[in-house]
Amino acid sequence: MAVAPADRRSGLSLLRSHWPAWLDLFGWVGRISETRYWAWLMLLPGFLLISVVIFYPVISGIWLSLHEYNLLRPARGQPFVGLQQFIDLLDDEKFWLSLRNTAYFGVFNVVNPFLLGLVIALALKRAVRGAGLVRTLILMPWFMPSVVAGHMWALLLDSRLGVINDILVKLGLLESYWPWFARTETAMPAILLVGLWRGFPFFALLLLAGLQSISQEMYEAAAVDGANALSRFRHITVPLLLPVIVVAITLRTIAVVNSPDLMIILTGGGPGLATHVLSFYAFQTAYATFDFGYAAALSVVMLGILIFFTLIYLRVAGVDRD
Amino acid sequence: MSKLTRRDFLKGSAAAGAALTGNALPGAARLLAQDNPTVDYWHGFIAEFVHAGFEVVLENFHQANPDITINPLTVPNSEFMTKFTTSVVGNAAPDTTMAAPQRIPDMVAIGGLQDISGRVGESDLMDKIPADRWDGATIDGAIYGVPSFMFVDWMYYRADWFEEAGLDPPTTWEAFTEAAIAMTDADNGRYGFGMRGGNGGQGFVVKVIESFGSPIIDDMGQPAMDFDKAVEALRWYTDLHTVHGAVPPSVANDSFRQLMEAFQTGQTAMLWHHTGSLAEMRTVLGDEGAFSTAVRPHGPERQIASATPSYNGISMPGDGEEDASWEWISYWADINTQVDFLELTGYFPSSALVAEDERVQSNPLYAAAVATVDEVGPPTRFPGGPGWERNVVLPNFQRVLLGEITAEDAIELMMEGLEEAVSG
Amino acid sequence: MQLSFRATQRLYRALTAAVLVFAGIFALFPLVWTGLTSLKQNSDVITAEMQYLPHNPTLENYFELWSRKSFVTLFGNSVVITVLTVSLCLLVGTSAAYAFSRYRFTGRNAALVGFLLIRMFPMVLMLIPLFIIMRNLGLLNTRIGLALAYTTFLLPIATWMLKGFFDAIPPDLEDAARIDGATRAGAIVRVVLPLAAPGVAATAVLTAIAAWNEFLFALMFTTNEASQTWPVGLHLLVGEEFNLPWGLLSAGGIISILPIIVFFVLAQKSLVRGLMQGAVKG
Repeated sequence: MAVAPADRRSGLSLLRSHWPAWLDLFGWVGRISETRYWAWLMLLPGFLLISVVIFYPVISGIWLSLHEYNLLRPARGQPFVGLQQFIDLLDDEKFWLSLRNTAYFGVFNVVNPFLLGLVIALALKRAVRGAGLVRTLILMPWFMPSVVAGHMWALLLDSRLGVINDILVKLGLLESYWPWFARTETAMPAILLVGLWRGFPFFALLLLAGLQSISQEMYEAAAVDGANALSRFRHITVPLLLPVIVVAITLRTIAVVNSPDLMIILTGGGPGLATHVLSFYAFQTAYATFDFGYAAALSVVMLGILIFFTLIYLRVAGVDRD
Repeated sequence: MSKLTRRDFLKGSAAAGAALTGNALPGAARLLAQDNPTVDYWHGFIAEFVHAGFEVVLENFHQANPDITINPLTVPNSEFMTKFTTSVVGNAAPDTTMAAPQRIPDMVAIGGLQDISGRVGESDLMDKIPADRWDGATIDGAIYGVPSFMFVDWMYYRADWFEEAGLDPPTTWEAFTEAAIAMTDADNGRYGFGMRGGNGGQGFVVKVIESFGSPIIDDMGQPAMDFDKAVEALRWYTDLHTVHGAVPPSVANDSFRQLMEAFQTGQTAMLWHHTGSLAEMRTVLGDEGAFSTAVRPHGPERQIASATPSYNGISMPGDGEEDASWEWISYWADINTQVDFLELTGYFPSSALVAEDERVQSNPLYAAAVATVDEVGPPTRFPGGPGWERNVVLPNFQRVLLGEITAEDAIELMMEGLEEAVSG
Repeated sequence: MQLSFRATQRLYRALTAAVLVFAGIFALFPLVWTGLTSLKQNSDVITAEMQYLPHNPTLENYFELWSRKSFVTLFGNSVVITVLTVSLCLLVGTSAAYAFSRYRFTGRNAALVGFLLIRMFPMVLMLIPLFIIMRNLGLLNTRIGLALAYTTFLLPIATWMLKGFFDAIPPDLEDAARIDGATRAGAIVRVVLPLAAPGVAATAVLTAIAAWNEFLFALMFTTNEASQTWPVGLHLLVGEEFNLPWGLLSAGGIISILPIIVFFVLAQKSLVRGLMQGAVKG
């Protein structure tokens, strides 16, 4: 967080008087922190923890993707098949369809909540009366456990008991209750609506934290120079907010692409294959068909797509430039 | 209440155990573990009314076998195979588990169920439970589960509406179509048939196909679908929606919950399910004749139904716990257990003796189940079957309902998928 | 056309208010509906005619939920696991994020992306290997085991977020503290962390929510009822072949956001106000 220079000194001296001296009694930590090992020591716990968990699953996953391994056919063992399962993917109509759905779902389930979150964060920054209340309230959708949120949305949009249908009919926007999740053309949009509701608080929270750290003086200086609101937004807000935007979008994209939760509760990938995304496909292949080799190939492809996307995105956004 | 008692009991026995081990000589602990074995049990008794029934069974088992502790775990049906597979591959499966017959071939293939033929043979269970009730848990002559209660397919219908229209519940597929059309009044939001087009609908499609004379697999476990008959079956079934409009427009996402709500709010006239939902149906609609039960209609070849026993199997018992595990799973075949369970949950018994019981025979609602049980066996099952049904049958069935592909296309895809599931 | 300064301001204020009202309604409507549903009996939810306000409002669902099964145990487990997870994430994540933010070393970018790898790899292939690791470490059915599992998956998020917030703190502040005689570690504790407090709080909220709501690991890595968590309990209200107890499920949803609301109310004065209103405002 950037800090306005005027606040800096007072903040610091205030902190000095508040932090007890015993914190420095960990003298040896302090001494080590002056050595060149410090950076590594700080990274060590995180790396240890993550490597315990990451190496075995990822390596076994990649290994599996190169082997045939169907749990229902123990007699066949796990023969090495090279890239065969990846070649099979190219021929797999369901794979391409799921890839397309994943792209559709991934893009809109990130962009929609981002835009709404951004607008709300911008609005919240201009403190109006009642903004404090709204700040807390808009976080609520995110607090709801996904099993409750998913089923409550299924109820809200239900084709018999759904209050949204009832309101739309009463307003004359619909002739009769619409089966949102049962129709190809509305199943994914309905899921995206739920995703928007679940996702925008995350962006609003992060972007607001980022916005608040931009010093007001910069805006005032720009206003004196005659910059209008739009150009202030473009030349001050966007560049200074960019690091937070990048982090938020990266994290959200990864979460969205990897999580079949909404599909499992709301549509089961249907109707037909209208909401059949890769994460759902991989899950079904592993735990309904028990073809772990193929599921691994799907997973490795997803991993590759995500790594590729993340690297490109970070490069474009210029975050890894230094 | 019973939970509390049981918990107290557990606490007491744990304390007693600790005191004993504390004073016992070294080496006695292991002996003690065998004397007081703990048996893990995974089950799907989720709704409160059926969980209450389960608690009573637990309690009674405890009184009969005070030395055995049951460690029950409720596992959601949708995540059961994920959890079970992970535990089996991770070498930490439960001692015993509930198992649906459709899943048993998969569970056996991944090495998650033990052959208990020997123990069954030594027991008197074969006398209590009719031979065909074991079919669902028998693979290549080996038995992998003891039947407990049974889900017998039947049909719910709005008795008041049928009476008003002067119709009898249909017994054939042709009559079913007529009744479904007759009961439909789409302008007023009434539909003849609550068809399951969402998750779970795959099982109905398979039964419809079989009822039209196309088997799924043959005795050798090889694909045996008859293209023409299967197409005819699927076309008849989906026509109810696409041609006759006798099914709610939300069909492609209608699962159990939606269908029950549709029936209970007076949107549909007929609903296919099984004996397991009777208790909840009565709670909501009462016994006053708003609804009744009937035998499901027959296709050209056979009834669109099965009788699905729920089994309990031994998965991976720890040292010295196999006897206790057997004690527990065979307890579910006991007559008293099944009567208790029937009274508490309305779940139909697998034991022949119980089925002849007054409580079953005298209740007119059960008549449809009694008739069906004599006619049909367990549902089709083979390794890879659930995956094929879920990932091939269901989506393609939905695509026909949505008008995206024809019944021919769908059956072709199902047959391709079946080939792959069986040998691929 | 050039609007006067006043007119522009008024327009902005109106727009702001409109956005906030819309956001409030969109965010809250489903929650209000959940709240209303939690006061209904199922027969008032499953109706042919839509019932907006409960005709027979009742708190029965709350009482039943609380007396039912082991919901108190589940709640307690979730609280402990969430607190453990947040503590671990902040401790380990702060340390790693600081290193990523302040030091330049070879492989830094690769390591940063590598941290995220654990989140990129589809969960479906993680379950079995993780289960085996947990079993071998004796962590199945333990709260610390679940907290560790959550931590490994939330650590990359925490680290990335914290790094972003640390990046924004000018290094010369630290330098000033060190000229005054503080060690690097001292400067972190006395300067960096307090200044990053809003960011740390945001990270804490994020990890807390994720840990509080996690379902799949909690289901997979527990094998007895005593170690299950709140989301698993909620999930178990919904059976595939049973009527859905809407009132109970809604009551569960309301109960599960209560602790977070309480947390917000309690922490409003210190952490959260900072988090929501920006770092060092006046």
